[in-house]
Amino acid sequence: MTYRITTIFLVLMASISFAAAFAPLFAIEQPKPIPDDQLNQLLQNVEKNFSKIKTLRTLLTQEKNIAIFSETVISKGFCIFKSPDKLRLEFTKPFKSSLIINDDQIFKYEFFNGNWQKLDTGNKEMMLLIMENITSWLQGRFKDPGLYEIRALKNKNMTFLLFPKAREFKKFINSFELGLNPEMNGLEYIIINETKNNYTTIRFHNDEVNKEIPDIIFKGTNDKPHPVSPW
Amino acid sequence: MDAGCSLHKTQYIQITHQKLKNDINKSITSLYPDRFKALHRVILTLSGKNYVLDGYLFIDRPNREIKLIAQNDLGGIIFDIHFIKNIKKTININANMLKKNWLEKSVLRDLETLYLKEPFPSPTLFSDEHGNLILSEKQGQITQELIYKQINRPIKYRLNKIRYLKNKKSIYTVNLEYGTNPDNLYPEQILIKDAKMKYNLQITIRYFM
Repeated sequence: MTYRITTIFLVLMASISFAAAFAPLFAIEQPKPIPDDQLNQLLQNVEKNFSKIKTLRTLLTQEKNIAIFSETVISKGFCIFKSPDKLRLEFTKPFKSSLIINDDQIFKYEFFNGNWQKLDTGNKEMMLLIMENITSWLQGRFKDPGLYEIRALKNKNMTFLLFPKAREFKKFINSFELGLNPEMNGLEYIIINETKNNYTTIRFHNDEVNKEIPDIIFKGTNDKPHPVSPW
Repeated sequence: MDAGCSLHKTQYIQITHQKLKNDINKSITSLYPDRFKALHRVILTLSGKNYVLDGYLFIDRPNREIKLIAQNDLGGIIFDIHFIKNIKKTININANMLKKNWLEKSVLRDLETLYLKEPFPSPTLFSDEHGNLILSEKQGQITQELIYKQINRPIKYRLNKIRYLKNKKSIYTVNLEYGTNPDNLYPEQILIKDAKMKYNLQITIRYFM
């Protein structure tokens, strides 16, 4: 019995030593910060790449990690953007909701008890601000010195980190992490690092870029959002 | 059965069957599992304006405990609450427009009503003309009513409405809707109307059990 335990111990120790000796070979590559003197050029290049996006429709999966939940709460939906200022953000599961920006107008719908309800939102200004941020990011405009401190990290792909400057904003959000695709012409994900270890990841997939998108799907004057064909 | 009182033009008949009354009164303790998590999608209507919130809830009924994280539907924590009845009440607010006192009297009271309600000390049981059972108890100026709807024969009752009355006028109602599946144990939608504090809540619920 003693012999068996000693053997197991020796095998374990050998494994640990082996792993330690070759650690640099197996280590996960650490993201490299982009120096400040290169950041502005990088941001300009990214904005130029993104400016080719005139329309975008993409499916999205949102994963909410809430400190009091052991489960990740997953929501599904889609985002449709038409340059310069039409945006529709819609969730389809588990709850249905639709938020539409059409020029400077905002429309909000919620699906409750089998019916769409058009809401008269009381926090329009805040929602407009958030939606303007999303619209800017979809156009590759990440730099907003008044609102955020910005850093960039290069790992496999490029990531931009935005840290809110205003104290009131910091109460809600610690940082935004914007992950670019390998071609650096589109967003792959957004991570919203909230306070108290809560964070939300939004992943974009099934993108369609520069396909014709009719203006009617951004029309918010009806009592329910205009239907969207699946893609 | 005795002829009873009349509220909201509905004729109530008092039921004196002691076992039925006790069973209905005790059933509030088994309305939900002891511990569970839930996500509330909430449309709050206040002063004619709508606000959408996501409420992440942890409920521990034996310990009389509620944890709530309330987020704006686009993200960002608006407020959080940690409440253990008679032991702890912590409310953190990030949005300046919200007041702690208001949250205590509205959100916390709503959550206690939904999830931590206890049997009445000495209720009266009535039936109405629709076959509903109404468990009623007067506490000070307020009469609290729990309305149970018969959903199955021979006998199965499900809590359908909570109503607070003052001078025979409804001042607070909670409507529980269980969806189209008759076997649903827990409400899928809840409507709360507070006439005194002038707000409505439309809540859609997803449970994590």
